[in-house]
Amino acid sequence: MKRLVLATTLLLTATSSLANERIISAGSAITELLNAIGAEQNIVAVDATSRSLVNKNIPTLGYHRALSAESLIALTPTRLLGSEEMGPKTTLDLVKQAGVEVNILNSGETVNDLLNRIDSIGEITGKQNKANELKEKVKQQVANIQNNNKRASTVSKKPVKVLFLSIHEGRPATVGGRNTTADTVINLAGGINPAAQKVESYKPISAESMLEMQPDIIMLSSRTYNSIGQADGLFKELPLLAATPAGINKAVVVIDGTALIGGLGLKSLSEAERLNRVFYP
Amino acid sequence: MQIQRLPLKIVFPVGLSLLFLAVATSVIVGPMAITLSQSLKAFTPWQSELPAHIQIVIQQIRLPRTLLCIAIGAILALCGAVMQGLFRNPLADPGIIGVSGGASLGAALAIVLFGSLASSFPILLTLGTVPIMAFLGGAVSTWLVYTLGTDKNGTSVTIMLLAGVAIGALSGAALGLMNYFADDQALRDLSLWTMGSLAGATWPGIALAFSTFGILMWVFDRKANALNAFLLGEAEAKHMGVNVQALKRSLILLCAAGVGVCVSLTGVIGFIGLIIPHLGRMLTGPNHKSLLPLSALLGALILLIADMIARVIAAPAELPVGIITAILGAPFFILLLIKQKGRLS
Repeated sequence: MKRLVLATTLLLTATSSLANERIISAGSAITELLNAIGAEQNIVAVDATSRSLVNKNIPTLGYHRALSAESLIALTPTRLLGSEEMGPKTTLDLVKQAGVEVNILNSGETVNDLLNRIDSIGEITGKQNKANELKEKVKQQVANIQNNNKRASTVSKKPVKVLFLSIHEGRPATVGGRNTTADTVINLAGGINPAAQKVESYKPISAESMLEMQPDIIMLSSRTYNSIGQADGLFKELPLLAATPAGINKAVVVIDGTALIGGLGLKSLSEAERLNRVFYP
Repeated sequence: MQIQRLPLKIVFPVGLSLLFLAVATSVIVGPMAITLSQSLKAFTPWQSELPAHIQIVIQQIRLPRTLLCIAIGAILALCGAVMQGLFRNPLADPGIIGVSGGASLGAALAIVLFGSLASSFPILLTLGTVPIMAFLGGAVSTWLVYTLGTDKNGTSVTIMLLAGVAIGALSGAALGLMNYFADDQALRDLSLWTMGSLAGATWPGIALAFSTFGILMWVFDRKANALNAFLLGEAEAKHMGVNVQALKRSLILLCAAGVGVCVSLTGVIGFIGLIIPHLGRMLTGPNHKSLLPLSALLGALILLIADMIARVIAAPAELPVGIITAILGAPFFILLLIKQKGRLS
């Protein structure tokens, strides 16, 4: 232990070479990027949202807004990466005092935010080349979607109205409104989110309002989809939906739940690309 | 359930040594593996060769947290004991006069209103608004409950209790209403806050908590005999020469201030104020002269143990301590109810 401690303290004064970096990643959007540029072996711990993106043996630090200072320091990291939401501030101050570099990255909802985030990760880890390759890939994906949307509009298809629903046992269903990743994904995939004009973030709304929106497609997270018994379960849960185009055509799409946390990430983008093909085959 | 009552002069030293043991454990135990000798060295920084990060963990994380725990646990239990004596109601706790509810509402307003402005404000300001608003919320709701319960004939404890329940329900409803207007981040902050945590221990906060405890202990101790008289009933206490109205006013205000300080420093930590005084009465009986200091001691001890559990049970993550106090306290509370039932029927 002592030698390890000495080694890390020496390291902190040296310039960061990725080979010896010990990174704590507090945010799934950051963890997925570290994985994508091949820095996964540097991750020593993650927050709760990144659990599914790393090996089971990597310790989880819980919720990224309630990080425990001592646990962080005990893992002797060289670097802590997180979004503006990471906290509490007292924890961050203590971690900095212990000589850990703290980098705040954006958790934004736009493609540009994602590109900037990739840049920052490239800089931090010294893998600019990998980061540039990744950015090209992202731009390509966006271009693919746009081309497909152009093609669909020439066939004179009206854009589809997609409503994101999240359903928890015994509570009113929640829709994804403005400023949510669900909203961004719907827009990216060429759909229209009818909830965006009415609410901001994820809010419970009445079945009546859903009816008024007349969605063509209902989008569910994979978790909701499986817990309510798939499409049939949805229409049993919300029988009023039968009076919407989505209900008439039994049009339900599923999005991977991890694509919806921590801002617009690589997973959100690939889900948008996939859904775009579903919306406009 | 008759427990052999023990004299304070036996119970208190035992409790004190347990507390001392708990303090030592609290400084030694944590997610980071630190040996006993290293922990001891951290207290003599001028002659030790400790790595910086171990120094920081002991001096700036575990020690402040341990101290804050002691002060907060003591204040909560002390105010709980005073409230139960004042209301002659074994189920009264600081929450019952609306302090906790009002404070939560104040904090919620701060988080929801100013949380969204956090990016444009200096962060320091928003960090300060939550505790201040919590304190104000607690003070306002206590004043409301007190005013509602008071008329020219004095303060009616029954009306106050009912008003406290109403204020509690009202703040609960307002919190629920906010769920529909706040964004996700504010909501999560809020739910963490209402479960309480001692992670944000700062030296000024510790100083505030200990001075609050000192003042409360000193005042309450001088009122202990009046509280004993109160146990016989309000009219009897009056005949014994207790200025009932003045006593009620000062004790309620002090409890509100004490709980307000606690809530503003650590969020809402339940069950300590409710359970600990009962534990104290079981050990040494209902005399407030011994019950008050013992409650403070036990409160400090139990909260410290609860916080240790909260720190290590899910390591490297950390649980809000309110979850642990509820897990420890709720079964005990149910036992109490069963006991009460036997006495009433």
